[in-house]
Amino acid sequence: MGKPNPLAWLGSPTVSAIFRLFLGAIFLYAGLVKGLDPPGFAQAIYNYRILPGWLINPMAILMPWIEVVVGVSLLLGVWVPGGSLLASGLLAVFAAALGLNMARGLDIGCGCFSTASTGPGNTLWYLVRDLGLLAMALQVLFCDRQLGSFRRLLQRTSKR
Amino acid sequence: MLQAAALLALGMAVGIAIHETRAPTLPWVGSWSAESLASRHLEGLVEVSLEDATALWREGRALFLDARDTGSYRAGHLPGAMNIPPEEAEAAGEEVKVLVEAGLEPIAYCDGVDCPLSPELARRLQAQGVRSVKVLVNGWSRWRGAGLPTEGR
Repeated sequence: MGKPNPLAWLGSPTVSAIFRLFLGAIFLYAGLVKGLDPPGFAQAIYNYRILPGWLINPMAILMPWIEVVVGVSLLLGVWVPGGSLLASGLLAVFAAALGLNMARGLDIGCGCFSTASTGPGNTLWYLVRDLGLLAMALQVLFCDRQLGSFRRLLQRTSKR
Repeated sequence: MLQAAALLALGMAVGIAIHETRAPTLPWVGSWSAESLASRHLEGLVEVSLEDATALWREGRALFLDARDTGSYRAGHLPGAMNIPPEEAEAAGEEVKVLVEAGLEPIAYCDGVDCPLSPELARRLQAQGVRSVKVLVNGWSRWRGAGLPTEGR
């Protein structure tokens, strides 16, 4: 018999459910805050100095609602593989942008949970936070077993 | 993979629908050149020239308001400037009003032609009742470029 792996809980479906709900709430909240202030969010995107000008407005208009949809998917537990894959993709892209700006020494506000472009850039902290969320999203992607999800609820009630 | 693509498409559809049905705040195609940014930022605000700002300072009537982050302010700022990042405008409003009533001219500045901080500070102060605040565009660089004295480290 091998020794039990002390880190096995990391892959547990319960942890997935917790991460899933947490990430869902975060994406829903972040998406709504940005979706309600497109000009502010566009300014924040511009401050990253990464995207070409013509791409900034479409991204400011569309991305928040992609986040909202991802958030709802994760909260309800519907299409979780797709939702967590998309969440992971988004978080990976954000991490790359943050990392790029750390390397460039750009000092900007995050633009993650508000549309304020002001304030000192605390880019390293934002990057660490983002990577933490990315780790959670990947855990959900690989370990989720639909605990506490809407679909399970529907299945249970329809079987009675 | 397919679910992710479907969610992506759904999100974009929602975004398009919401954008088209709400009162438009942002065009699909925007101009992000420095010039158009600078003019957009200053809409509704009064810009003060470097000459006028310098004259006011020499008369001892200028109240410079540095809208940048505290770190940048500490490294160097215009003489006598107060550090008010835009999110602190509400907290600082009363103090600024007192100084303005004493006869000082409030001038917000930051760094860079397309910097949005000083216009945002100016707008927030106006909302607090400081009607006369003006903006010195690219104030930090232009002040130093003119060889004028600064304070700080």
